[in-house]
Amino acid sequence: MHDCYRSDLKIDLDRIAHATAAKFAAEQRSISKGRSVYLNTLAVCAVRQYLSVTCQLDLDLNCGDSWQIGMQSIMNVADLVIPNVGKIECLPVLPTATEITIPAALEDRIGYVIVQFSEQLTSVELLGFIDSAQLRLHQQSAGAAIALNSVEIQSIDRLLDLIYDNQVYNLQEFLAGILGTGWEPILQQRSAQIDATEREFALRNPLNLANNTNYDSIRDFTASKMINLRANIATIPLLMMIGLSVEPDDSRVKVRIRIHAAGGVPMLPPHLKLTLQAENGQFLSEIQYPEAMNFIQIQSFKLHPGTQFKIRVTLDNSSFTESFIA
Amino acid sequence: MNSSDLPPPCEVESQLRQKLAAVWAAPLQSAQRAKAMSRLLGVVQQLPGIGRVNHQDYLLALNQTWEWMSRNIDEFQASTDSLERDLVKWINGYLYWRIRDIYQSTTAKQQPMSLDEEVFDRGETYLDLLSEAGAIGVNLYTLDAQIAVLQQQADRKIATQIEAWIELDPERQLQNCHPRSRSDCHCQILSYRIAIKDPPDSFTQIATELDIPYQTLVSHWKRSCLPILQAQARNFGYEPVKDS
Repeated sequence: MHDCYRSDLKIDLDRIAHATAAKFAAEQRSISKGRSVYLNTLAVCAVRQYLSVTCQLDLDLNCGDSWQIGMQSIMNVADLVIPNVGKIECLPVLPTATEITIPAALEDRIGYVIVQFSEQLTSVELLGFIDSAQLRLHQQSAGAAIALNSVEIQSIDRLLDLIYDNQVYNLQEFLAGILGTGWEPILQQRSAQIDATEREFALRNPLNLANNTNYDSIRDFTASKMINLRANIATIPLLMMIGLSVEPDDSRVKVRIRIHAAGGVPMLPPHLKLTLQAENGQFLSEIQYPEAMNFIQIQSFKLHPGTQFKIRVTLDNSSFTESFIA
Repeated sequence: MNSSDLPPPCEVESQLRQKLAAVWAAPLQSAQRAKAMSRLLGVVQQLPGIGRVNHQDYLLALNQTWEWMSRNIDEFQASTDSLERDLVKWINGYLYWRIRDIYQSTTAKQQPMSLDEEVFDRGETYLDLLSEAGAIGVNLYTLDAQIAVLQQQADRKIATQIEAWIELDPERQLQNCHPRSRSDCHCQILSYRIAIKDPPDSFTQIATELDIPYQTLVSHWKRSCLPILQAQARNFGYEPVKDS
């Protein structure tokens, strides 16, 4: 591991983190077990805080075994659940440590974050990330010690890559009104009851769409997400919209995808490409116009529950991909 | 790190400019943006102008401020030729209110961990107790002593129940669970050596002593023993911890 891999970010351990750690440690049978639970709890709090400030994730600590007193008492556990992505383990290391041991009895972790404490326990530094796939690749067995300068320890950036690569939005949840991170409902319930002019304003205002927008055609979409596509030196604001519906007596989900010009820009750039891909990357549909359009879309398609697909927006060498499961 | 470790002012200015531009240029909800945000925060949290007070909850106010900053950075507008001054002013504007909150001591009560609930039926809260035990100023060297104080006052009911259940194994669930033809390597003895014994024995040590392949032992523990213990731990965990 090189120094440039380290996050310069220092995560402060506030009083709530310490009070929670103390509450858990107090319930353990021995001082050494209490100490390990105390440090595990602080490590989990620190990684949660890191993901809150970098990815704006608001993770529920109660989802992990690390927040259950019973689980703490039978295992050495510091897990943190990232919805739609997986479970990570936060490994506390002391200021003078030179190696780290991956706990042998833990399963289903996508990776391990190495959390190094300061002596005063007021802050931590995230030293790096160990990808479970990487461990398997090196045929490194769990339980073995890994030196803190070994090649298996990657930058903490690797965790951020994993979070966004592994994120798969569940459309059944969207249908139930639970939208994934970054997604907003198109039309608030209450605005369905207001008249057309007000509704148009209600839509225009938050979405900041161009004046030439036909609002009636937008109303049927379920959710939207702002995308800043970076192309060469310019940043192009786009709105990805998804329309979902289920018809009676058909378990399949009907999906429509549209990319709209947004951020006050009237037209999409020419040659912007919208692609529908299967989970394995196979191209299923592709839309591209040589001229500037107000929006481009993939006509509705029906999917059986459990089917995965990807939507990719491409301009020149830049692209943006979102993954979904029906 | 203190302010004397900072690069010269013109370098700070150009670093801020470069890192802020990287955040703004990255697509929302992308790894690229998260990385850029991490780099920007790394520089910003070292700026000497960021507000500071001597209060035990200062770090709470500061953490809330970084969360706010990362969610609202697109709203920030520079108004002078000093990005550092503008950013510090903008951040301190929010931090000021969070510091006001902690002085009005409302923040702790809003936390979901019910740290302000009475503990040990003595009319004290966890936060009181921690202040008493000096746990606010805890460090790696004083940690054990403070945990000892806290443990003496806790009833440790869940951990005690689990330990007793493992030792008693009332339905012989643990003793009857072992790899084929290895009845000596049953879950009760493993639970004792791995989950109860302090310090616990390592898998390597147990594998050598019981003369069983390391992988067989680990997967037996993971697939057979741990699920039994977890089910029991959940069971005890859901019971009310304290009689009221």
